[in-house]
Amino acid sequence: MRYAAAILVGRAVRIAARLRKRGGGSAVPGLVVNRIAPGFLDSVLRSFPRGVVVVSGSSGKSTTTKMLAALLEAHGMRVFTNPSTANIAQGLTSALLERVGLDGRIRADIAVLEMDEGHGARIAPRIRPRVAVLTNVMTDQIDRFSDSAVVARLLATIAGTASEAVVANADDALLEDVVAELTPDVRVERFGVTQAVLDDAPRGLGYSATRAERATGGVLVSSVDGREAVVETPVGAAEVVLPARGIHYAVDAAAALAAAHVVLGDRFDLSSAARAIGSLEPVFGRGELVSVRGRRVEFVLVQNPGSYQLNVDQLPADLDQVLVAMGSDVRDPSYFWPVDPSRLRSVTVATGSKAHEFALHLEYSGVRVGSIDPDLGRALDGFLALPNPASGLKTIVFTADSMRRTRAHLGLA
Amino acid sequence: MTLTIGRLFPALGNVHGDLENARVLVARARWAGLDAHAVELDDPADLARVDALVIGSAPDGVLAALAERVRSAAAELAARVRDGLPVLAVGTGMELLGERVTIDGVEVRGAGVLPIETTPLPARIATEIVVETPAGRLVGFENHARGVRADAAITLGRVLLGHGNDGATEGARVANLVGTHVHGPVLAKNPVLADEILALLSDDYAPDADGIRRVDEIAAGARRAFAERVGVPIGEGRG
Repeated sequence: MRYAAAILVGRAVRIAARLRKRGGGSAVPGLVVNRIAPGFLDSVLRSFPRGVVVVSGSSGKSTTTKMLAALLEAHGMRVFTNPSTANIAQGLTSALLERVGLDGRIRADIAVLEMDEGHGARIAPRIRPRVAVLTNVMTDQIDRFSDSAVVARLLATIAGTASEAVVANADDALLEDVVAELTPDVRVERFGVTQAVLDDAPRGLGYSATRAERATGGVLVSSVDGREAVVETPVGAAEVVLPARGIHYAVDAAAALAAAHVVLGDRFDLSSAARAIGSLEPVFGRGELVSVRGRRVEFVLVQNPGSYQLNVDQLPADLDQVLVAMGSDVRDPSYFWPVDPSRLRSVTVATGSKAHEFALHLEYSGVRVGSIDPDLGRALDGFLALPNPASGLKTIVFTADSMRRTRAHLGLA
Repeated sequence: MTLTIGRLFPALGNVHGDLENARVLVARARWAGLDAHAVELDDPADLARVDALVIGSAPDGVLAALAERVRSAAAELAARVRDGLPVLAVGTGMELLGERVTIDGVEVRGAGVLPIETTPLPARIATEIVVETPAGRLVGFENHARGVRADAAITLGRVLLGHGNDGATEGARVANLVGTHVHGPVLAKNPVLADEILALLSDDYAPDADGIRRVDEIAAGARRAFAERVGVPIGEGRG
């Protein structure tokens, strides 16, 4: 009962934060509890009987985390997992507060935690995860992580805390370097794609450095066709239906399958696994279809240059209504300039506090921008009021900050 | 005549999109009715093919290897720069064209094309930058772990915000070679610099085509938003 008082305070703060701002205040209770009971986070995270699995990397961690949690649940495990918006210390503590009993324990067998690279490198050494899953290293948040080598160092720190196994992307050259430094008592499981799949990806996989050779063992994506993929595992081939089209989702599935195989061992069942992945809802904000104000709209989340390129390349070619929104989460948009967004051909409106920066890149890439309005709410209202497009869906391409503001403006959860 | 804009050593990294300044030059030239294309150069012997050159910034991990390749091109680079080749060299691209660079405590020789010297800073600089230059205010972002020593006479101007070479001056210029810490789409956000280069390349270049007006209006909007955010007035970037 050591943390009962802190837990009660955290819950009171949560209620207060929600009364003040609907849907808001998710990090505040964590901030308060981490201050008054600094040992709370470590203590709860160490209490899971089957340990903790940490998922980190530049891109794909949310999808991989959701897939892995679903895979373990499909095998009868009780899983605690954090929502993708809570992948830093305060948010994680807040997420734990939602589920913890006054005895400071969560009734689950295992935790599967998505962790931001920087925060993960600080938290992981305190919780000693059983397994670390490393998705990839992409060029991301340059003003925070000066280059990819810095991200690779952070992931190496996380990997070094895993007591049992590290599950790593075998196609990512920087992660291969990370894995090479592990002590021999830590098992390494690899996932990746076959050469045939890579050959079908005209711009590659988007990693900062891709290995010249493909892995021969491990869990490998051997074909991707829209939302259908085949993933070869040590116990046979799984035919899976992905939560959205694209190679990167298939790679996320391979990562989750590899991690589930490590955690479950002989209990891993291929057909339950394939069903579990097929049962997932489309991922928050990426290729997500929503109905709002009588319109069908597709949301496309741009998290970094790699996901921008992959997501734009997978959009239908004939879209004639597109809104793009870039917010203050992108302090310096320079690193988006290597992306080739020309498939969009034209954009109806650019919005958000970085609307002009986004539009400048689009225009220099041959994409005509109809209008620019940094006021996101006004731009959304005008865009949704337009008659339905002649072809394709109304499509909104946004960065994470603009996604949150868009959802709030439209009253979406 | 077709203008050929070179992107030097593309395989060694383009994380901030520095090489996309070649895209900016090509697009503006085409809007102005000129023939232009960008080429990637891995072999310094190919320098003879280009009418202008962009050299980008590379991550520290590849700098030592990059220094060697830049040195191997030093004689050719120096000769072309003397003859007036327009070059935009960003970040480590600028550093490596200088006399000396200290990388991880080891002093490495550069190409010696720019009379500058680069030494480590106490901490990495990653911030907005505004520079007062004779052609207007140069704006953008800088992200570097080393500072530059350059004679004030060859710098681009005075730092109003950010760090630049040494907290006071920014960049270095010799003939038509411009070196700067301002990374990413520096020519898109500072079109006066792009037009200086294009005017050197063709007497027929005039920045009054519709496409150019359109992007420069957007650039002016981006500059206004930037100025508001950092609290430093910067003008429209048209000199």
